[in-house]
Amino acid sequence: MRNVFPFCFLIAIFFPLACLAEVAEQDVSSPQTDQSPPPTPLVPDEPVWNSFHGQLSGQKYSPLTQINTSNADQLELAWEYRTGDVSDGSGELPTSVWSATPVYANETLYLGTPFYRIIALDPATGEERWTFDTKSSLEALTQPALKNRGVAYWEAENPVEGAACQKIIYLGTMDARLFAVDADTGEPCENFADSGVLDVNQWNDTNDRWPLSLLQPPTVTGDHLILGWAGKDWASSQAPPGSVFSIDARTGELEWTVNLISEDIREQTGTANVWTAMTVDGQLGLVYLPVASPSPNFWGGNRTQSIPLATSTTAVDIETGEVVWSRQWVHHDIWDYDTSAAPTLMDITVDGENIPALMQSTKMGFLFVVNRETGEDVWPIEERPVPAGNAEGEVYADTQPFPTKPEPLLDQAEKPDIWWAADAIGFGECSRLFEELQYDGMYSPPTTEREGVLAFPASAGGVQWGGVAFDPQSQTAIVNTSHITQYIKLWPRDEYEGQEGESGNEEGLYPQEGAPYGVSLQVAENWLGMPCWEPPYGELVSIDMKTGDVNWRRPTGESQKYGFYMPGSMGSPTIGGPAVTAGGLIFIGSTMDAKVRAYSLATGEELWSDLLEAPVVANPAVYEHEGRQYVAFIAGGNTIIKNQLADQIAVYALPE
Amino acid sequence: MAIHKHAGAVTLILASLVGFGIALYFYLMPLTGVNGTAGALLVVVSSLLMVIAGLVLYRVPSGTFALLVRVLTVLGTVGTLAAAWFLHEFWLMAAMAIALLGVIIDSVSAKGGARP
Repeated sequence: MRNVFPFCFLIAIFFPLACLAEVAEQDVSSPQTDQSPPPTPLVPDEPVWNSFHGQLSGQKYSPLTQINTSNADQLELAWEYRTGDVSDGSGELPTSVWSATPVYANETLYLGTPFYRIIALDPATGEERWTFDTKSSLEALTQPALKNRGVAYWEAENPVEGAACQKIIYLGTMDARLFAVDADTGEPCENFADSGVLDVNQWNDTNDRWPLSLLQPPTVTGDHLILGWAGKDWASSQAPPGSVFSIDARTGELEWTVNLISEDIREQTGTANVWTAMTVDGQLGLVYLPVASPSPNFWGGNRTQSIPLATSTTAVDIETGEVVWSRQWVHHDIWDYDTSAAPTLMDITVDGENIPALMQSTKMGFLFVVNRETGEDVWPIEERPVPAGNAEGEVYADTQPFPTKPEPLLDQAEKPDIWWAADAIGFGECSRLFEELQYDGMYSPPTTEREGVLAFPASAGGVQWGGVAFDPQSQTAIVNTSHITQYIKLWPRDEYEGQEGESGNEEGLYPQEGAPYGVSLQVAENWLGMPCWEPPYGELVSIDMKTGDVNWRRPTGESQKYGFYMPGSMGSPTIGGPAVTAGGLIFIGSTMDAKVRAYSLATGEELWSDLLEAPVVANPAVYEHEGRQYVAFIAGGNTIIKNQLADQIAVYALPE
Repeated sequence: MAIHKHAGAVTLILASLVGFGIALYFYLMPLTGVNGTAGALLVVVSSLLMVIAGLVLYRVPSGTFALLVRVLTVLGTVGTLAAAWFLHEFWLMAAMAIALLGVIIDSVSAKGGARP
């Protein structure tokens, strides 16, 4: 054998040096480590509110106890801030709605506005630290209003001292651009896509008549941004087909795409997208997608084929984008029953068995509970027969899934009872309307006949993007719901053209171009705007997740019209959602009366309230900064529940 | 019981004036919960009408016209009070309650209990 010792010696010397050189080169051009960040625990040990729902689990839970049931009544306004980014639509700009939750990270409070600016504030004083303006054109390209649900935050697992963009804030725009800026300075991250701007519309390659609007911040998990988008609802049969992207948090490179509609029918339909937040189980390596309904939303004759991922909760592998399991909550959805909120992940004990569960709230007022590892039922979900219709070209689903536990938040078995006061003041108007509305139970399909079909609930929900909060200590779920009766009528194309009216936010006339029918969606009310159906109009519900039984339920908020408040016992429709704390509290805005409240988690008793300039239509944020606990509400308003808009963030704390 | 001839009307005028001021505050000021709303504007107008009614009754304390004005004023104060309840303008409710009292006093004085 030849003497290879000298050769081996050289390899032993030079190979490590070569490796070091490679690492050094990486440090200079793209400061990063190959070490993957550890998975985020379901319930973080420390208080975390660095995403839309507080934590990646979607629990909206804070372990902080400084504010608790014994002192919540002492809460006072610590500071407030006005962004200046609000429009009532009377000028050149479209109406704005602001359904955002502030993000607390990097010892800073970050906001995204409906004018597509990022604002960084001191969490203790509200003093502005920096702002960044995307300079987006302020046009309502896909929505009836300018919309924004805030920003997302990422930080490197092992940040490089002195390097830029080791912590990044992301904001999406109506025209499908994702901006990445340094969380400390607000300067664009040059290494992210095109000098800090990613054109997501480059991946809009089918039915690309409208851009993929980025109104919900991306979900950040490890070094991935999981990104959905919002489409233009109700306008056309054909729309961009649903897709979700995984993007490298540092570079903006596309890692994978999940297409939610199969290739063979993508061109003839669209949406079935993910416009709301998502949740992540880092231990399982899964991201959970709440998928919306396909287009057009109220007629399905162009999509009679099965679209199994539409109106579903779909679990996807974070690393590969592979669909691991999926549960469809509405088969052949023709009611616009988008899965409107991120599912809430929870570890629960049912009949002595520990279950890694997931609760999916829905616009229908159903709460589906499944094993988040497998998608299997925790409590039985039954397929039950539902009514069919007679619209041209339709092939209706024979059955729909109904959860057995928890019980539905609304009783949809029969037409809701008529509210006598509205009927009397309308001289029988409500009675006459209800007689003209078809209803054969839940999932009665839209029709051309008479005044249409009664929908209870309809597209306004039920439960919207605020989702379900969860207290892991008591295994209690908290959810707010609306009780709204609408009616849906299909208009043959020639009759639709002669209709007068506007397209509003979850109400009005919508063309559904390409379909044989346009559609009208109206709230069942009398000439004075009083709801025709009996109260309550909104509730807050507490559910024991060990049994699936309701602990308590109560009306929340006060409905308001023309300034007049209805009695508190009637409740208010709600948009937005709660947060819960280890201090035994529920914090929530969400109601028409523009009030924010604290309730007892155990009893539902109202402990505190304050009035803001507009309804809070997202979840509050709960954070601790320099030893003081704060609760932050964004009072932006949303025309779904009321024409009252603002640009206010109000932050509360106990007196110092 | 002798009542000053104009006591009721004066009470009505003053209470309605205060009510008008309260209603205007709630309509104009932010963070009252009803600012800028049609309901808040309605009670601004109605309380102002009560002031005018009080002035009319002060000048024309008797006769059919005065009777008509009193009836309408009772309806107006009760209606404004009810509206104020739905608007959560509780100080306006108090003002309208006093205004209503003023109308009642004015009615009694018009029946002959007034001291010249």
